[in-house]
Amino acid sequence: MIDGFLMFAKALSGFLLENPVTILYVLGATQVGIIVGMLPGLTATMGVALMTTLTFKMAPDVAVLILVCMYVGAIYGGSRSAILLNIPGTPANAATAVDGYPLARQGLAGRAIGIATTGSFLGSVIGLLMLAFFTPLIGNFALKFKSFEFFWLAIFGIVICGNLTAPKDPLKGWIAGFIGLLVAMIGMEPYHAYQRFSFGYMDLSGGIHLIPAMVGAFGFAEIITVMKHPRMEVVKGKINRIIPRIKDIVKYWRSIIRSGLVGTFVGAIPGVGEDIAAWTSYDLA
Amino acid sequence: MKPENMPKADFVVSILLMAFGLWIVLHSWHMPRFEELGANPFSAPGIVPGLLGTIIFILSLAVFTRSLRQKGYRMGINRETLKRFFYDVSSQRMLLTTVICAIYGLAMIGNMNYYLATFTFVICFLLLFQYGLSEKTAAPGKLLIASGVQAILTAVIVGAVFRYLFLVELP
Repeated sequence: MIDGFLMFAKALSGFLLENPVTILYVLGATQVGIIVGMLPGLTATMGVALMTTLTFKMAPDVAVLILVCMYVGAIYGGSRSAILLNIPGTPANAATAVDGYPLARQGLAGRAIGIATTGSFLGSVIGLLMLAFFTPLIGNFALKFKSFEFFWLAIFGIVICGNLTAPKDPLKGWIAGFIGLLVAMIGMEPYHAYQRFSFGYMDLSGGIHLIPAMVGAFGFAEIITVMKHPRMEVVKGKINRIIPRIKDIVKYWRSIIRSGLVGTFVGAIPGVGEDIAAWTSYDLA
Repeated sequence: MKPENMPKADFVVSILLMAFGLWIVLHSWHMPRFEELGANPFSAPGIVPGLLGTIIFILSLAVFTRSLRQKGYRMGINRETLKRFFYDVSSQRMLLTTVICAIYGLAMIGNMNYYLATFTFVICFLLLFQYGLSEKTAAPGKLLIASGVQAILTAVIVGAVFRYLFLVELP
């Protein structure tokens, strides 16, 4: 178990001492992530999917670093629009909008952004430590997986996704999960190269790729939702203090640690992501 | 959506999903099985989609049955409710957005130059929503120029970003 920490420390020292240029990648990718997260309609997953095309030719460790920074930045960035516009930049920030926007309307937008930033940082640190601690264990376990295990993992993912995305009505979550699997059936199948559900269209013979599927499923739904409302109420006013007071952080130490742990465990479940983790943490707080 | 309208929505959507699941099963059944080539029957292309179609049908049937129990078939559609729906600004904005996006995605993209299609889409979208449905906040000439500049920038920047940065081939 200590192997994970040693690997983590080695990676951190190598990253800081041997190749300091990577810090620029970290800064750039996180900044792009924050911008992606702030824009409603562009989710963190979509940002990572788009960024993947840029990291093809990079060394694997740098590419993974950039993608993780992009993801973390996007999830954090979504809190800005959630607080200031009451529109969550990513679905994970919906819970932030519930309390963040009313704070902004009271003239406390700076404080809300500061707390969101601190919470995001401390939560990431907890996730990082958990990752270093458990990855070798989970990795060794996952390497033993064969076709049967992957099949049951996929079924587990859909079932748990249905249960957690719609706790009161899991049937709809399951239907959505199975429709997702059906969309993955489109195109040439691997054994006989038969084109399923392509109806003679060459464009569909390769299947539906990730980016068009994500843009269609998330982007279009977001556009319709946003356009439904005639006008967004933008918070106007001076943002005074952004950096939170130490006593505020100390005051909420239980919530911060609990939310970090909840986020890590919920995120480790296949098919369930940061959105559910955010709501679960919000409910417990 | 209001919770009392959920059974009605479930009723309509479950019928559509049942039809969809059934169609998937029938379509999968008619896929070739390559038995004449000596292929393993479990490798037939229609097996997995057929199973998924069956599952979707069964789950939708469960939603349909539940909506019947909750009297979701009482749709309550009459002239008054339709009038209220179509006169509602949110509904108008939602329908207009859907129609414009459908025209852009289905009719324009692929049939005309991408940059021209995107420019036309963005300028029409901005003019319709800024001048057609919203309060008139700017002079028409000013609005036309501002929308035109935004449309040109969007078409060029989005096209360039996807083509050269994300390496996605444009239609």
